Amino acid sequence: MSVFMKSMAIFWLFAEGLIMVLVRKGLLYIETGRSRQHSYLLFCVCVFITVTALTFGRDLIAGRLLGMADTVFYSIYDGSMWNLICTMWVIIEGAVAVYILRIYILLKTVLNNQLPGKSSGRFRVVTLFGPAVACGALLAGFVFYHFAFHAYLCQHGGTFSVVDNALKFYIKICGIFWILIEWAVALIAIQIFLLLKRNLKRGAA
Amino acid sequence: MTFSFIEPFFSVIAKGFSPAVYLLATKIQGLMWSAADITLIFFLLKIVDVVMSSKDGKKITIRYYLLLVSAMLTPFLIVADTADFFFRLESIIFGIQFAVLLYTVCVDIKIATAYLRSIVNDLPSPPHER
Repeated sequence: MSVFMKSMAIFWLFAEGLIMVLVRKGLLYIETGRSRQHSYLLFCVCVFITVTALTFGRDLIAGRLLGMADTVFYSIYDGSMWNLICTMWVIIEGAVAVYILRIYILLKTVLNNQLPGKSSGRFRVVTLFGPAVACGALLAGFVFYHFAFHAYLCQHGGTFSVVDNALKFYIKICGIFWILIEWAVALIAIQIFLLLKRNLKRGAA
Repeated sequence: MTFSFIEPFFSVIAKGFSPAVYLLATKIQGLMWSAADITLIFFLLKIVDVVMSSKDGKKITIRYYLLLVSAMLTPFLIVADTADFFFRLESIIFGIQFAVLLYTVCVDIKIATAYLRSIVNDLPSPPHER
């Protein structure tokens, strides 16, 4: 993986992470009137620094610490790191989708003259525990795929192309999630826009 | 630990998921991401427009033009003949879309959330709080 590709991956991770933190800040402000999230921010910064260090520290980690400085292992390391970043994009986009959905549910409830606690109870449980379950499942999926592939390589051996094909297939699995989540967020954004426009017209009338 | 049940899957992927198949799948997915991103950012800008119109705020025309540029570049993803060219073109397209999205979220989030908070505050308080 070239330095350009690594830099773009880390830049996108940073950009998506920043969007996630800002959207959560907005959600907290809309819900409670306060937007402090120091622990959440600290957690995100720690994760980002760790992933950046792992991405750019291949030569040190794979070469010196693990003593596996051959081309195939380097390609497994780079491919696995790229796949981890892809998994994190799915997690971040999923989190943004949940925050936007919570904003939409709150607005819809308020604009339909209902009390927020009553109509959004079921959704609240899903949006509170759903993300943690989904996040755990995605990370478990990442670990399972790569451990299973490692076991396959140990048994059957593998050339550079075998490693490359199998690791790139994982990106396409993540791609399906990105597309589904992004379309879901786009549809929620359309719903929020229509709600606000209707509210604006009602206010003007 | 054995993963024998998944071995046939890896055998097929390792042999069949060639760079050509990967590029084709990436092209299809790239078009679908870009279409989703364009729709999402367009309606985000429309939401900001609604907020701005209620506050008599500034127009956000330039961001619509940038989004249009990214939309016009998107069909060129189909003609990318190498993974490297595809990645660079994708970086430009998504770079523009991310720049617009990031700028909008960073700059307009305060005014947008204040507007949405004001809508939520208009809500009648629950009976036990009255």
